[in-house]
Amino acid sequence: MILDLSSSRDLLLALLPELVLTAWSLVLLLLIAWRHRTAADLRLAGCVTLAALASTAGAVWWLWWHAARAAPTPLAAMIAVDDFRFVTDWLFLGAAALTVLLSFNYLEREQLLIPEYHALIVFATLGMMLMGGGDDLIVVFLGLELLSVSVYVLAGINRKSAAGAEAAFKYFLLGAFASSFLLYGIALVYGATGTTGLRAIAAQVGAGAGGGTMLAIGLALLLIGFGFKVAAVPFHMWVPDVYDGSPTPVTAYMASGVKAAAFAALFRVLGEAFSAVAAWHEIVWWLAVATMVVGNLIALAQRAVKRMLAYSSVAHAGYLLVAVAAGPGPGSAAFLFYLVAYTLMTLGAFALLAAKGRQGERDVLIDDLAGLATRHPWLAFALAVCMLSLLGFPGTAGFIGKWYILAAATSAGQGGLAAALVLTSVISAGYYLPVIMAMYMKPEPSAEAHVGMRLGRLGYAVVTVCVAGLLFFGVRPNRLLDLARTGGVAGPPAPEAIPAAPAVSAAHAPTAR
Amino acid sequence: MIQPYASFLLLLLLVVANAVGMIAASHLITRRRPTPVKELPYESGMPPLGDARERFSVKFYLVAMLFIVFDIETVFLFPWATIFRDGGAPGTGTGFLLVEMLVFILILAVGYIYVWKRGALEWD
Repeated sequence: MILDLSSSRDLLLALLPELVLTAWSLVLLLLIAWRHRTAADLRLAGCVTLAALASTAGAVWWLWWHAARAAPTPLAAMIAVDDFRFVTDWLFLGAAALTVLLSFNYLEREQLLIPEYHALIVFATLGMMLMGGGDDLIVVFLGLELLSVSVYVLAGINRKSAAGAEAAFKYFLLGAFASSFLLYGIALVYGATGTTGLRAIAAQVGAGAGGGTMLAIGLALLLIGFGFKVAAVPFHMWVPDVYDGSPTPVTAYMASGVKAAAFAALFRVLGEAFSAVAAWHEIVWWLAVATMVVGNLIALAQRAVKRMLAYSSVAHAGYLLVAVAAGPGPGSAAFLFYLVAYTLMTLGAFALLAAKGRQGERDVLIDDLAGLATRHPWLAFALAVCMLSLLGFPGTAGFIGKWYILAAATSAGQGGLAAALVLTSVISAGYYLPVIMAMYMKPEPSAEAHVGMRLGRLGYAVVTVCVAGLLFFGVRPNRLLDLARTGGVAGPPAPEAIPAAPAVSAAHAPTAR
Repeated sequence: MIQPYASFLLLLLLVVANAVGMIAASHLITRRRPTPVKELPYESGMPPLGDARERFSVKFYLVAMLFIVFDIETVFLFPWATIFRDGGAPGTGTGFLLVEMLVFILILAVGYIYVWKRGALEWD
């Protein structure tokens, strides 16, 4: 199906998923206006959110099934219609759905009877979809702001918690700072090329019109802005405090969905608009190395699981940056695959952490997990799978993801980056394995050590989906890889032959219920 | 490229020089004879009523924010109205323009209903 984006009918079709989600968000807001008092209202809002996410995933699926593509138009398009957008949309919707499922229990346990929580998740997901699909720097920026403003509020949704207020405030200040960098960068790129459309910028750069200092400074400012959002070292300072202070499901959402959205936008902007500019390869090279080394080394020193996972998410930003540095050609499939695997393992780990943290208690230390395997063997097994996948152990999706990033980096001639990735992964064993050792090899300190650790049925469902996905993609990555391969940015047009329908079932299973 | 902006730069320099010059001149030329009345902060000629660091009710910020949101609606309506009068961009027609604005107003109306029902407009 070829969509001519200059006609309003086809443009509306191309925007169908976003329009569906917007309509649902209005319905949800009206519902909340009348029903916002009891726990039942909160559950109702959560169910409506799940329906919204599922129907949006269906709309994305419809576009994907019909192999929707944009017709080449003289006018710059605002939104891309390609498989990269569809795959990232499923990823965002899936991460949001898993977060909502995880939140039912958590919100009631922490007495946060605020149905706006779910509305904010919907708004943030809409922003993510605009970021993953935006073919214009302004659309990417709008999506980023919609996402960021919603997540600032989500970080501080627990108004009684001082740590939550600190997290929200820090995130807001640094996020606004980063947004302004990004906006200045967009302004300078516009000044150098006379356009904000990604393809139009690429055409200008290719024609040699955009060379020079102004474009280079603009690109550098863009990289700084995105660097803050994806938490690359040296722009990672906010991560531990914000992840630590936010409610755990929100942290899971930030570490998976928000980071994935920022990466998707970064990948598309660099790959589509600036692939002819040589300067960013070197910058991203240094960012990747610094992020991998610093993230992994500081994570070694953490005792609290949440902070350890925060630094681990910094380190994983470094691995993803390796795929970005490999460039859109070889790096695209590896990038998408790793993004899906990373989302699953992060969500699973944080879901288990949310179950362990009792009401009001913040810091779960690694030693607090001692003897978990004897008391809750299944939960310990799930957490062990998540840790092994984060480590990149063979048999899990994390291993396949790292393998493909390595292959992409070496085929792009980035041998140094590949070596850094392997070495820092070895370092990371030093903080992932102690979690497993504590659970399986240390005795339970007392009989009451794990009392009150409850996951709930929905939490079990989330963890099961994550663990099953990690193991499945670790053993049979082919289908997801095929999908990721056709999802390359600005690659050749995907063939008409569509892979079998359930290709992405595990990636967005929860949205399809 | 620099040429058209040179006059702006010149203006900027003149403005800064003017401001700095006036303050410097008043410091250099005047003789200071302070009295308590002269030391008071200037508040339109009135004796000051209180400390400037007064705490505002948080409601104030809420209302200010809502005001800005609905103020922007008007800011959008004006350019829309002029384009609508001229018949819109070639190829789209005014029907599309009308629907677009109706959608925009619908979204704002939903926000308004939410704010109203949630009690943000009540001051107590």
